[in-house]
Amino acid sequence: MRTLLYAGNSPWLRRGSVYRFFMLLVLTLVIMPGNEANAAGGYRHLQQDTTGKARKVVAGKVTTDRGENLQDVSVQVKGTSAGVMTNKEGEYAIIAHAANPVLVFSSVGFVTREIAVAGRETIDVVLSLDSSAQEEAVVVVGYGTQKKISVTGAISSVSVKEVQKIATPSLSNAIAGKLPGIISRQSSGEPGADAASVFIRGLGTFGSNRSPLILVDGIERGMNNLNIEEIESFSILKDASATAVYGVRGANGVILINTKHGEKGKAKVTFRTETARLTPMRLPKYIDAVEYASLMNEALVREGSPPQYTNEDLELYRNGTDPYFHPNVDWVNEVLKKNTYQTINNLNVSGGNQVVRYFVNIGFTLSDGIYKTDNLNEYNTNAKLKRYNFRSNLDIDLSKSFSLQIGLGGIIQQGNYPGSGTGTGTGSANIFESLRMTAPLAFPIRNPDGSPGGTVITGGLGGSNPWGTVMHTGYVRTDRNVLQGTFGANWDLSRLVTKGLSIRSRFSYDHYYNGDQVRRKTFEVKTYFGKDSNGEDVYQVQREATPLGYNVVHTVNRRLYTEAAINYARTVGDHDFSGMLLGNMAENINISASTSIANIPERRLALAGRFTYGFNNRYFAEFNFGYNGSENFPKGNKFGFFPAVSAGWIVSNENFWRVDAINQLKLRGSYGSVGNDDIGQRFLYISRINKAATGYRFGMNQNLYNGYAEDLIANPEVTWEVSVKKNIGFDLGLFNNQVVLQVDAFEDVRSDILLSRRTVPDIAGYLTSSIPYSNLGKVKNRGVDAMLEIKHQTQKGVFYSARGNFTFARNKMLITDQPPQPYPYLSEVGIPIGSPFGLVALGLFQSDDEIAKSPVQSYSPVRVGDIKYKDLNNDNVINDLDQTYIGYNRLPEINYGFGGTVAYKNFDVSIYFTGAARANTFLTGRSMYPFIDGFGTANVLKEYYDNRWSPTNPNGYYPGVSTGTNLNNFRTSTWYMRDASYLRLRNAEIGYTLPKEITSRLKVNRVRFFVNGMNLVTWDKIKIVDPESDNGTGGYPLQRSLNFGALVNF
Amino acid sequence: MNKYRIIYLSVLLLVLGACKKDFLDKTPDEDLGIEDVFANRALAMQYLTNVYSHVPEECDMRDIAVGSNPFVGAADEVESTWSASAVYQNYMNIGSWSASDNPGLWAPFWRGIRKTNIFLENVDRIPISDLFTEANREQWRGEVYFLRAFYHFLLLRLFGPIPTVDKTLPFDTDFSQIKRQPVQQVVNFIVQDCEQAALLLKYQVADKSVDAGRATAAAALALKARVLLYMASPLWNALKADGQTRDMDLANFTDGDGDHLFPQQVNPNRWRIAADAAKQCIDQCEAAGYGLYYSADNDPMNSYAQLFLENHNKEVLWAKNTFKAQFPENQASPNGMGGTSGTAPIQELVDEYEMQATGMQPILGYNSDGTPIINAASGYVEAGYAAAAHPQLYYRINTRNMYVGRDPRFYASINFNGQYWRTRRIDFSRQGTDGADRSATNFTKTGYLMRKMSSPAVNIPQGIFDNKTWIFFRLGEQYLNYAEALNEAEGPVADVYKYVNLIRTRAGMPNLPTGLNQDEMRERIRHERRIELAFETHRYFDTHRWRISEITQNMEIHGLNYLAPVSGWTANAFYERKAIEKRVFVSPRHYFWPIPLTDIVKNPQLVQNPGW
Repeated sequence: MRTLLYAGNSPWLRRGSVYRFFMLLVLTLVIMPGNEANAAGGYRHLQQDTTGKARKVVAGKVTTDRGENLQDVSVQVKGTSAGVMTNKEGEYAIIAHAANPVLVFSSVGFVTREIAVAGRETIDVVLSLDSSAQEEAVVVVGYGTQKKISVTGAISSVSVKEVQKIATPSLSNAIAGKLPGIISRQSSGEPGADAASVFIRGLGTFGSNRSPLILVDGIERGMNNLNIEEIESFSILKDASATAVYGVRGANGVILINTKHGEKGKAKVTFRTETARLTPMRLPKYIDAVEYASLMNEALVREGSPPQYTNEDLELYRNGTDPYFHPNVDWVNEVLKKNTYQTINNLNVSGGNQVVRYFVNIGFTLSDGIYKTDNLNEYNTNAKLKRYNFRSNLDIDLSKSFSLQIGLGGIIQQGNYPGSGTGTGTGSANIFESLRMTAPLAFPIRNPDGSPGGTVITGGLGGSNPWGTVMHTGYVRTDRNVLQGTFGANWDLSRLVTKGLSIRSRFSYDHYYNGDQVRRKTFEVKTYFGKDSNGEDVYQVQREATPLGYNVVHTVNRRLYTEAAINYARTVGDHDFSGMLLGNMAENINISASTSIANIPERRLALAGRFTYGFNNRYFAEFNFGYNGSENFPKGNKFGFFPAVSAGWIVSNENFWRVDAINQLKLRGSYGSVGNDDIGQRFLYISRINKAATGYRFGMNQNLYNGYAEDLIANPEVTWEVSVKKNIGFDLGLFNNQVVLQVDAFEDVRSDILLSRRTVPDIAGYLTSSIPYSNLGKVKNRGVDAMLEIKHQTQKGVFYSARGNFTFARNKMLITDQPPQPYPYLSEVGIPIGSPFGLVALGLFQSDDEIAKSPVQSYSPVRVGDIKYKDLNNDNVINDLDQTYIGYNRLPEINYGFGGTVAYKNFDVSIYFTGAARANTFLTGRSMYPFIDGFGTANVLKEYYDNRWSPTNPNGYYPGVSTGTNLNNFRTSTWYMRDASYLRLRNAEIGYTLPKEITSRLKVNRVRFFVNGMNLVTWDKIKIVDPESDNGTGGYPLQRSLNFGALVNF
Repeated sequence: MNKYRIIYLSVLLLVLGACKKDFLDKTPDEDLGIEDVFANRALAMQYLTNVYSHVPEECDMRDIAVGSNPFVGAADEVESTWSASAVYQNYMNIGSWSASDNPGLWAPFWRGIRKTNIFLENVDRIPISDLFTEANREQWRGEVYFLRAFYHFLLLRLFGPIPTVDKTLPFDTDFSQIKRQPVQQVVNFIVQDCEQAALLLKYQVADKSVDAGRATAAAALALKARVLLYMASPLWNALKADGQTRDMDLANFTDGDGDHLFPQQVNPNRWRIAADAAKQCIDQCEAAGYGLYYSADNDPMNSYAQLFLENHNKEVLWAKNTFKAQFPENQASPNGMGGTSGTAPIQELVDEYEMQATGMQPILGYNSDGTPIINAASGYVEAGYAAAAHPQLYYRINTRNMYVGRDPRFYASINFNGQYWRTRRIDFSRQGTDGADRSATNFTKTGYLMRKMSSPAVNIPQGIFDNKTWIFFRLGEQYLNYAEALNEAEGPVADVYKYVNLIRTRAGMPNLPTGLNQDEMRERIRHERRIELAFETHRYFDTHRWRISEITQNMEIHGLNYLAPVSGWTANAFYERKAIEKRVFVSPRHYFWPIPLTDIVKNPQLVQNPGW
């Protein structure tokens, strides 16, 4: 059965069609011959048993998985003709007169369930929406929706329910591992900065913009400040067919998010509240002062010098009796909390009548940081994110054919951060850096007079005090105010012009205000020298305190977007046609820009089109194009044309198809080109002069004279990147769609990637910034993504579902303008973007004899216990020419996720794992490289200390300790490279829905309590920092959350 | 239905209303090209200012920044005990450097050279006006010729034979055609630019109050004399330290086409050319008003100390204004005064200062265990403490005897334990106010800190700094250049004595003994350069060109026992000499720096220096 209803674009109309469809169904059933059901809708419609067998009345209620009562569900006794329909409240009663009666509950658009009566008298049933129900399901595509059956491009979506199980203020973290085609990595857990970086099908370019285009309600907007409760649908467009309509913006894939709209009916109120306890995962573990001092001694002895600390010193560090001159400070514990919290609350109301439908949501999110605070401060220095979300979507049907949509979104986000950063920075980098910088024995936390301890300030963070850095540097308040207004109109011209024709237009105005209120101060740093002969404390002031400063930095952006489209959709016999032609223009202006160039609005014009044809639900073809222009390219080269074609064949709809287990098999393929115009720089076709070049001082007063210098040299032919994308895939449905499998394979060749010429030698004298850019680069990206879904309900009423997805994307650089290399293993050609480059370590030198017999390691003289490298070019010298590409990029090549839900009676349990593979990270830098900043400075991780080589631990993994930087050991090499694969128990949830008796007494529809957790367990090979964190030894850690919440429907 | 048509049309109008024909044609209006810059005197002057900006910050002896100065810490002058990552001289001192780790002293000077060429190619386009005469144009052109010569020199002294670039190279040049030039040709190129500059420029800037720091004919002649002195020296003639034996590594060093990059024959005339150039510089400059600097009180220590603190004084031929750079005080001040105690002179340099009364070396050499061979005749006593202060307070009472009666320049150059500095006496002993226990890392590891060029007025904790300059050329150096070249060319003739003694007289030191032979005189001049020009970056290049770095930079260096658990300046344990580092210098590898690997890869014609 095919729907004959609306084929347009607005989700709210589509939903209306479902209801109309139910009415049709009702009618059909009424007039069906031999059907004895009474569809008139009385309270109970008992079926008379005519065979005289055992009769048993079974009654119950059918609801959707959202808790809504489901009317007009057909309830049949399997193997008989007996059946009834549910009433308005979703209730039914049926006489089950078979021997082992099994009830079949079916309703169009929902997964049919069969439940054995097994002696029960009451059977309540939850029907879930059949997302793979092809005939009715529609898919969100570029600039509209499309019937799922006819889609020939590569599109994936995830149900909002699935996303909701992760309590996070940043949407990107909720979708990680949930969709095939997404590669993501979350590197920080800092409030307001914890979003994951998301890439569709990995990296396709080494150009400046690698991120997908994100559209919320069709407008380019960020996704991380949305609340999940506001979202209706989330889908990603992956191949050329799906993205071609975005033309020059689509090469990195597109993420489409639509917000919720109201449905006709009485007002529905939903309140969801959840509060989580957050625990930072994997805080750095540093060694204590005793270990530190003995490590310093070990370094001196290793280099043939006498030790610096005596046994008495070590004892004083150990027993803590001399806290000012032999301090032993656990800085991490002094400044970081073990737990913090977060709460997310949303209240929404939706409903409407024939004319107006509404959805209004207000949300409040609060997320606290892990920094300890000093109660003496009059202000908060802890990191904190506070966000208010407001969204209202109105749909107004002015007539049957003319409707308006008005959407308003407001987001007020306030962040608070310690003043330890620079500029408008949030300070976390400096805090974790100061923990890395400060040795446990460097100085006491506080001097006898209470002032922060410290030593000579050597620029940067050296000599500074982490306790002061966290609590006594003032604070930075960040305001992020967003106003999003969308106004749309839709006019169905079916009656006026021709059937299936409609026109649509949309206008949006978005306003972004970022204000950073910087109230920073410098705390006094004093070194305590003990008491003088009079018994007075002696101090050396290393740095004087400055009072709380005040500096406000505003950034104001305005984005305007207008669009007009003509849609046409018609079915004639077996032929389905549709067409869309759309024009839009966008302007984004940085109103508060500090330079005149940055103030020039970014403007884009586009024409997009889609033409689809389907025959008899078996053959489908589609043509999409985008024709875009941008002000960022030279005159005459502003516009580009990006076409794509695709086709699909539903084999299972052919008459010859006889495989019963496979109810659906669809083959798809697409080919086309898309572009990427965000090349990171503006007006590259104009040469420039740097009017703020380095100056020079002349005269006795040494006045500074400003300098002018050559800036960027123009490339008059600069253009966008072009991506030629190929995709083939299939959709498979087994056992009446209880098992659904979708698999896609792709190849993406990106060319014209902008790069600054790399073959120009220093001798030519160009500033790096003035070497002209050229569209030379080329990258090939290939991979597979797949999704598997299983849904089933056992005869005993246990519903379970499982889903899994898998994404693999591997790119290789083909052209990078790398100068010719003396050895092939130094060449980037064929190497994935961002692959680490370094030496191949063979182990640690175990004897002087081994050193003598090995190639000369040119970086520095080596000792026993230093790293031994492989001589790749066999010239008996280890130098930079022995480096090669040694591993995988930090961003994984494989992301996957799997999990399932089991529901039984009022309980539901779900669990989800995510993972990544083929990624490498490096445990390098400060605190893994002891004394790299000079002897006795910087902290040392326990990981190094416990596993280092030393004469008494010749099997230690890490090289022996040196008194300063060690150019041989402290290099990028395989020795410090770690496999960053991981598997996480990403989320688990237990939900309990209150029984009807209680909810009805409370006069609410439904109450559900849930407990869920995020990042509960991680299996990986690194252990000391999170497997998703950046190279190095970690910054603001990711959080584990334990989240308690309730959902109430009124 | 009409109603909706109207609504819809108004929506469409709203859409179309924003449409403009030139919607995508907005470009920056006020941007300039090079042509615009040189069409305007004021803008061209800004351009010229930027050409100067590649003059390196040699006052910064940490060398953690691009274009600063690793030379003092890499010579047998100083051990950098400053705690920071990537103090380049510390890597160099342990032989820990390579063609891929370079301190950024290659690219910046090539950038400067490109800017000089852009300027010279465009300077004629500046329109003449009341504010800009032909004389102005000549003056600017002269400054830029000097800068082009200077930037080439800065590359030459590190990398040896380099390409010479006298025009702007388009980015699509066939760079394989750019080859290294034989050193003599590079020197000729520099000399030619210096002579051009000297012709175009005056000896003194027009108005010191606004122009001090601009290049002058004095600077150009000084550079010419110095580069010719280098060209006459053993290293640059592919000779070993004796000035006779061929160094075959350099003699056979060729570029890809087989052309020799170092002279194949020793031309004894080179010393004569160098002597003439130095004499020309001295005579012309003195005629123009330059002369040796003496402080008002004529006190030798004060004269020498103030020479580096009184900006652009009469001895300074060219200096860079470094403003309140906080150098060298930040690195050279004791930690007890807010400094980082980083620029620590080594014991070998301290031992080099003569006894003032006898003009004799206190230490003649070292035993194999590192103990000094004391020259008793010089009057030097190592142990014990002074019973009284020096009459001019060069040192105070209870100063270790080893610091008593030395060359006055010693007191102006080096802070030692018990020396009075700024407001109090320094205590470098471990438990003293400036000692190792006061900081995890920032303490001197030789028992000394550099004093020369530090101003007592600077107060680091209070953030009080003064305007500083870094002297690239001064007349005193030219005296020693002349004496050295003349001694090599003619032996110890009268002028050799005259100019060395002028320097010694200003320093309050007795004249050289008469009757020295050429070799003895050479040693005297080398000693005089080491003392007089200490910490001015000359030592690093002098030991290179004399080809003795394989000794001076390849030995165990010493300091005092800064870790002895004592306090005060009369604790004997502190003064025990200790080895602090075994320095590494491999010949011929370390005589010239490696060309960065990245540039070698881009242009295989750029052959790498021997040993790298």
